[in-house]
Amino acid sequence: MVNKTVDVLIIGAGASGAAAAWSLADTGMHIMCMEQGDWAKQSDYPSNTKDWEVRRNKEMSVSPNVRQMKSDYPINDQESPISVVNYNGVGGSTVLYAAHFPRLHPSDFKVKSLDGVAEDWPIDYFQLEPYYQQNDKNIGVSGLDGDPAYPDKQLPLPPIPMGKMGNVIGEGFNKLGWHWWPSDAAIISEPYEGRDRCINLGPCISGCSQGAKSSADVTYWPMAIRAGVELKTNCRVREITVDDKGMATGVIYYDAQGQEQEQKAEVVIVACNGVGTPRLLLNSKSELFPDGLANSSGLVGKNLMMHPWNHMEGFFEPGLASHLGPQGSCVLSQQFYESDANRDFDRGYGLQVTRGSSPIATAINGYNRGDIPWGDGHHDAFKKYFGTNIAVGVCVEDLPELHNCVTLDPDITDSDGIAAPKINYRLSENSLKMLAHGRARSRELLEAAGAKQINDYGQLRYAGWHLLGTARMGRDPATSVVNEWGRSHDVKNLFIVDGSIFVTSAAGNPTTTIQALALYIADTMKKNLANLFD
Amino acid sequence: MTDEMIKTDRVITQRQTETLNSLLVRIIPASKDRSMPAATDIGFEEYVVNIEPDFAAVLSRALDYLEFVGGSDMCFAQLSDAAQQTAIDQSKQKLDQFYSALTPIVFACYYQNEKVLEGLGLESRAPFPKGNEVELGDLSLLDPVRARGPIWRQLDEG
Repeated sequence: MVNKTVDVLIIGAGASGAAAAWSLADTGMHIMCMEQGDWAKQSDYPSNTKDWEVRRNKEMSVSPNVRQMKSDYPINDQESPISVVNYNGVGGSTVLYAAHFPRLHPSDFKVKSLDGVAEDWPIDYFQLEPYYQQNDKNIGVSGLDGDPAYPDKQLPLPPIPMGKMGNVIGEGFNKLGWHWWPSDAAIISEPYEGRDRCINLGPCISGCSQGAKSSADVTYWPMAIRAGVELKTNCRVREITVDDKGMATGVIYYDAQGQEQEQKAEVVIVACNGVGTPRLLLNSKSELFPDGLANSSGLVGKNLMMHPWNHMEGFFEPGLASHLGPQGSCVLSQQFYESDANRDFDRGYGLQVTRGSSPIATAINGYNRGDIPWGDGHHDAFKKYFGTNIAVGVCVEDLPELHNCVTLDPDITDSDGIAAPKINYRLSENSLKMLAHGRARSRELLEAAGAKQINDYGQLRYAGWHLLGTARMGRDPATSVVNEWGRSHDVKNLFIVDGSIFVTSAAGNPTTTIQALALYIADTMKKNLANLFD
Repeated sequence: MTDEMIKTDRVITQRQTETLNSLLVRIIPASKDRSMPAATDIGFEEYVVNIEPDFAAVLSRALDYLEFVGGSDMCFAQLSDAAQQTAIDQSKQKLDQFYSALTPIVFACYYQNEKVLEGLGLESRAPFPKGNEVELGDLSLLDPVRARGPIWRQLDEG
């Protein structure tokens, strides 16, 4: 069945699709968004029930391969030391993300010019700055003004609490003379635009029952729908269709009943992020595009960047109550973020200080380490380790490499029979050197802060939140997939607005930049409506 | 009495229960001051039935094996402390997967139990809607960071 042609069809209702939909709504065009999942209910999230710790590891696991919701698709990550984590539903992975919201730095857009590595972005920080600000205002972002790691910026809300652990780790940073700052967070510290403030439930990455986390389902989508955007859930797009002139004509999708449908559109915007977007483009083969849509450069799916992550924790004297507070956001250090010629690696990394462990996680992790035994010593050991840990993550800049890629798995499909993505990824020598440097600095920090015991868990497997670079932007069609405002070089009415268009990954959580890019691209589209396809 | 009337949600026999309890109390005994219960006192069997049903059959098979491991005429529950430990050690190779699964399931059951959480001074409740209080922290600690000035790389540095 062919549905009525819409002006703009957005595929994916996550961070970027939602932002683009909101921005384009004021054009008065008929804008439709298709999302393969459904709305999540805040009342269903684990933190509504006493067994939240168990539920978050099963039905709300961050891994689609564990969670296996109807809307999830399998991801073959056997040939990667990092597993992809995501969420498929309205709001996308913002439903489960930690909401840590550091911007990129001005230098991140000029890595080739400044450091001779990778490629420069075709845009710069200051072009994006107004869109960062707009995004912060739209969704509600908390933080402390005056961070010397950035050009001046003002956030709409004061910082979320650091807690006692913030004081302890802050003293450690100060002893070393290193930069640190309360994390910018897409969590509202005060009531904001009809949503109530964060009440420190803790498990942000299994969904926020309070609605204080600024996920796209509770921020952009209500605004976009009020402005007239049509959001169709439980619609899984199989492929983007094209005409004989090479223009996108719409999509073929499966509706909630699994029936094949066709939706025509004048403009198609892809917003499925760094794995979903190349998967869709590679699945959209035709006579004109036998290697997948928008892939004349051969770069669709290539240059996957995921931010290798080292996890270390220190244990301190009782009384920290470090298990309380928004899980993924406490303190950020960018002491080692910018390049330094005296180091043996290119670019840099961030140190992210996050909260301690909840009771069950404390017991299981402690047992696995050999610290919390069976038997008579159990209770004393548990009390020693519960609420006393501070975690330090090393988030290294992952530089683009062609061999790190998303392809179509020849054997595995989703429940609609669409080929699943396969990840081939390996850590570069540069990343390994950076991780080693970061591990040493993490230990130094925890020692300076007074840790009684330090455990280094190494590079984390389930850390593939940040899925970047697989349809990168650039001015040269031979070396990029989309141009400097997100339009496909090959298909003039096809746009990409998600993390796949990142040229480099920088060394921090990307969602604020993904949403700023989506707003920038939508705004540029609006400014060029008269000659959008020229 | 019909079959329907004698149906039960028990997943293990009385004898297996004795073995299980002997095992559970070795994993988490009551604290000496009795403020923390033993793992025998937290409804573990019911937890397995309701939350970890896939583990029930594994548990039953392992308890059967454990009961007579070591060749003793006495069942596991009647063995001395040292003999129980020997029996566990002897069964580790055979029951490796069982022990790997058992400990996290016991811990998960234990550390969401009302008596346990209260013993730790925590409230036994869902995080929502009450939430938690967390202090802001001492933002004056940032004074030295501010004093050192900007650290972001100016683009004219080249």
